[in-house]
Amino acid sequence: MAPTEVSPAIEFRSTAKFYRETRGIEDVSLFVNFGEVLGLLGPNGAGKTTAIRVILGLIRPTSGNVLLNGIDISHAKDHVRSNIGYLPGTLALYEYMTGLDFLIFMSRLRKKECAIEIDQLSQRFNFDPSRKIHDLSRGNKQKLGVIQAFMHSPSILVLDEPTSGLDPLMQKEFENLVNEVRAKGAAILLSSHVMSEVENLADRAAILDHGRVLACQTMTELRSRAVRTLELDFPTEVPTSIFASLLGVTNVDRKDNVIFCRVVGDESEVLRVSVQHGLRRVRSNEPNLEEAFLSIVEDNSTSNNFDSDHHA
Amino acid sequence: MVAIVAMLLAMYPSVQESAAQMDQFIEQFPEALKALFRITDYSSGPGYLSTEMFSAMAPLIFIAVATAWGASATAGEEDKGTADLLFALPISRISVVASKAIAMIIVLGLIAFVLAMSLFIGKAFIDIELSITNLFAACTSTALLGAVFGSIALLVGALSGKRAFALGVSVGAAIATYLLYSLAPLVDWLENLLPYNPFEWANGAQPLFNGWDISGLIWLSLTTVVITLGAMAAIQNREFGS
Repeated sequence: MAPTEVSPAIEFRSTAKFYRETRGIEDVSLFVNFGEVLGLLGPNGAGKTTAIRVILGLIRPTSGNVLLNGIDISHAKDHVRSNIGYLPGTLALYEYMTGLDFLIFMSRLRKKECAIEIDQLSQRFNFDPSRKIHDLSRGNKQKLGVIQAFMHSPSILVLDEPTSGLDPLMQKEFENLVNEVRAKGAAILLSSHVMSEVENLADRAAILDHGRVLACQTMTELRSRAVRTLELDFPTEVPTSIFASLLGVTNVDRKDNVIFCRVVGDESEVLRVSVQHGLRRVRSNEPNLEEAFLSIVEDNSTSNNFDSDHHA
Repeated sequence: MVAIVAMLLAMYPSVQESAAQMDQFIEQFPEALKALFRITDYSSGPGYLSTEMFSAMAPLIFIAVATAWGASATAGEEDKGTADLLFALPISRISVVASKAIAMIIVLGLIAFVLAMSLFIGKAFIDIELSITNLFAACTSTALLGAVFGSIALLVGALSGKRAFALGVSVGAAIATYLLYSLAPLVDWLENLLPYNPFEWANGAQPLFNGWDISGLIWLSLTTVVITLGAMAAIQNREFGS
């Protein structure tokens, strides 16, 4: 087959993975393009790590396909993974080695010389590679994990909870690094339950729950699906009834001259009606992804009540 | 291990001194007991070493090292969690198993060499009639005996992903086959099983007395290779992680 130029870096096609007792993922269809960061969000047990393990060939899908650069990994040679950098969610390292031993060991198995990159990344993350891994703090081990994922300049990065254990300064440095490799055209799949991280980095985000993709949209679109709280300030008391009937408006409340309400999606109707009643000031809290995320997961679980016994 | 060899050899003169008494004493052993412990003529050099070193001590060393190595190979990586990084690399699972198996053979070979050399050097200080060829023949057979059980540990580890389980099964197999081998001279139907017993392949032809036992070495090698190929097939179907 001839992979066309537009092949996504990573593509799931109706991928499912079932385990004997538990469900992994079900009918997942997603793609990550080169030069893009896709955030993979979801509560623990949603199937994020299962999806990631399938990409790396650590587990095989029960049905569906996963393509890397347009090539179906189930028919591909192991070489297909040579351009991937992987940071596992639960990072385990060879404790008896020094950081440098480990990085050299990994680069030898990749048959790539990475001495310069190892040096640069170690300095950048203020990491001392001469120390035994056994003696490293959790944060330093995580730095080592980040370095081994990036050292061979991979064009595809699969990062499972990458900043866990990193202090805020190093998290910032990590974000800079991700932005740099994206600018160079790398595709990055970033799984996280830390919303702010995905919010800062991702171009699009997929929300996973119970092994299914609930939403996969740009950050702007996701935010627009979020529930916002509006505070509408009027010169006089306004009856709540005129807002309660509007589409997407709930929890209307009034305190003196101020109306409080929750709005999902388009706010224009609320604002139009408010202006007609002499709106003086409006305060709206910018929804963060957490709220967007919660409202999507909640919507889904109320419409799928029979499914709720799977909640872990 | 060098210390064990030194101690065993140091004790030989005192054994030889009372050789006459010793032989008499052994004569009085019930035939069954002699057969069970494969006691031959205790007072000759090879007889002493065969009894003390190669019927129990050396197999124990090689089997212990090989099973620990085999069980750690892939199941140890899974237990520690490092399998995630290792098997996500652009290398085939088969080549991981192959290189771990080759590493095990090299380690066993090194131990065999050290054991043979220390016995050879040690025997210069005391008066034991023993050719270096026979020493190497016996050490090689025993090392390959270890490799058989090491490959069992590798296979069970590749199937289960559990190090302790792989270790338990392979050591259990070693104990069971050792018992079958030891009891064979006493029980008729067990004697019929001897041609299938790795301990018989390693020690049955008494390489310490008779030199290289080619057919025994072939059986040991072939079994190791077949079981290792089984481990390679098993790792291909292994699902790593929860």
